[in-house]
Amino acid sequence: MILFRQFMFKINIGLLVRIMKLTHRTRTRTRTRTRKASKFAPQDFISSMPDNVVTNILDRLPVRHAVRTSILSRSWRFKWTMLSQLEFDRVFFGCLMQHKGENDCGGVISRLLLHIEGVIEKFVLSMFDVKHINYRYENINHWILFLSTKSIKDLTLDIGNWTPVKMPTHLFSCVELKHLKLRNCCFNPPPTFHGFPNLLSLELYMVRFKSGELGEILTRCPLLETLDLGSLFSTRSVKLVEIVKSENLKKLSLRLCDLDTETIISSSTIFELVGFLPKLEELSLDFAKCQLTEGGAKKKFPTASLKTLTLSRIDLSNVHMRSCVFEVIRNFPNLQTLIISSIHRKTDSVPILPEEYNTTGLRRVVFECLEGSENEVYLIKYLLVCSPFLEKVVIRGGEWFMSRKRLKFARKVLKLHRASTVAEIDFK
Amino acid sequence: MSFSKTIMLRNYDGETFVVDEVVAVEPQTIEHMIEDGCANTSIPLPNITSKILSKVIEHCKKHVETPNSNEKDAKADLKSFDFDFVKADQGTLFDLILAVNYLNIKGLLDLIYQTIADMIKGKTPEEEEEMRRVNAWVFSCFVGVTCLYFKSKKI
Repeated sequence: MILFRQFMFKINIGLLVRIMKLTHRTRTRTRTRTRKASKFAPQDFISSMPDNVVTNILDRLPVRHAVRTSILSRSWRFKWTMLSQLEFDRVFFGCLMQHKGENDCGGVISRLLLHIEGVIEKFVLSMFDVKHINYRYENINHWILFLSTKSIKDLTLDIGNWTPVKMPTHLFSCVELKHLKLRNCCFNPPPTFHGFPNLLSLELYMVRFKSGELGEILTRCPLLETLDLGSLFSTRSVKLVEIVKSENLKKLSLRLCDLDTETIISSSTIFELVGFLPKLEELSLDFAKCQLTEGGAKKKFPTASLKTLTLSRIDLSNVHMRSCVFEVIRNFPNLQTLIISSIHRKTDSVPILPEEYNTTGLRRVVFECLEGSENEVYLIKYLLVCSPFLEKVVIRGGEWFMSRKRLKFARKVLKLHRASTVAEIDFK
Repeated sequence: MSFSKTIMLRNYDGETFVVDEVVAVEPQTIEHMIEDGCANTSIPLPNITSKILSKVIEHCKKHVETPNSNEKDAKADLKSFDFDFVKADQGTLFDLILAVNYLNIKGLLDLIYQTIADMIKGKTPEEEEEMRRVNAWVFSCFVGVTCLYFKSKKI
């Protein structure tokens, strides 16, 4: 027992000596550190960078991290005020409420904005899936007024599921806007609105506007290339003639049920739409809540430019929808990518293959939410036979696509004849 | 047979780099100099070292040579090249920033800015403080235990 105590005593002495040497070393190191910059401290490199470099780096951090750099040192106290990209999303609000117990998030954002000195190029406010915050819509008016003085170029306002907000008139004076994305708002431009001369992309979800107003807006945005009318607030609220006023459109996305047409929608509506947009390269059509009818007068429109086509929520068991798909594949000769996302109604219809087989230029086909029905097999068969340039087919089943059925479906598909020697079929 | 024009770049160390015009016009600064007619003999780049300039030229060459197509292989190859390109030590990375900022090469600038932002995101001030606090606790524990032992022995 006495030997053990002596042993412990020796060890402790050894430890003490080592610890004292360590602190001595760190004490001398601390002294030299204050005299010359340590080459291992990353902050020293960044601190000596020009302002535009620091701003570019801080722009790529989340806002709360960028603002936090103000505590690093005196020289860093106001570097964050040159931020030109601000994003306030669910993560930001979550952190604010969790760490600070902050209820007045609007006040925090307003105080932050007041510090920003330079131009604000990008501003994102996303309240989608944000709960339990003290939200006042007057804040949004104040922020848009502030942003209109800061040459804003990219603006996203997602009001989520809160009460729709009426866009203030200051929004329409942001003439440098290039990208605008709105969700759950009322979009009513004043009579003095001269348009957004630089606007390249416009995305509207759950947005309300008066009849005929969208056409007026589109006429005054001559450079518009991307238009996404993902889902408007009410169906049949947009006329075809309004959409085709954007002659430079390259990407268009809309729900067919939002179109206000005199006759019931048919495949010729689609051809008419594409025909009036000569530069269109990507088209995305949502068939939800849409009643299709037989293709009407089949006018041939020049459709040389369309390269990518997405058909979502299409019911392949419906005869009209199926024939629409076949017509579209036949009449867009330069189509390279086709994406079909289907929904399923319990209609029993006999799957029929079209009589004519026209060659397509398709290179990539993606099927989503497949069920494993005969109609789907017939469609895949048609595509494989008509596409000598096909490179890849991706097939994703829906949740109800049980594993045994999937295997049977995969076996059927893999046996089908392929016109292309390099086509790859991928089941995901 | 095409005769591509070459441009001479003279840097800080006095070394000369000869590059094809297509590669040389990737940096906007050099493109403007050529347009303004200042590139008759050689273009002076006095604030860039040879090591950094050769890295920049390597990046520009790779991006010019890779065809601008939607081919997945070409894109993946370029992505892995960019990933390896920024695996340099911090000193080189920051020298690169200054050079690329001067030369104004947008794609390369975005790549380096994003790399540094990702590095900063990895180290929050709290994590560093936590590390320091844990080390300080361990040290004070040992000292405490030793003092107690000496006290009990009345040394």
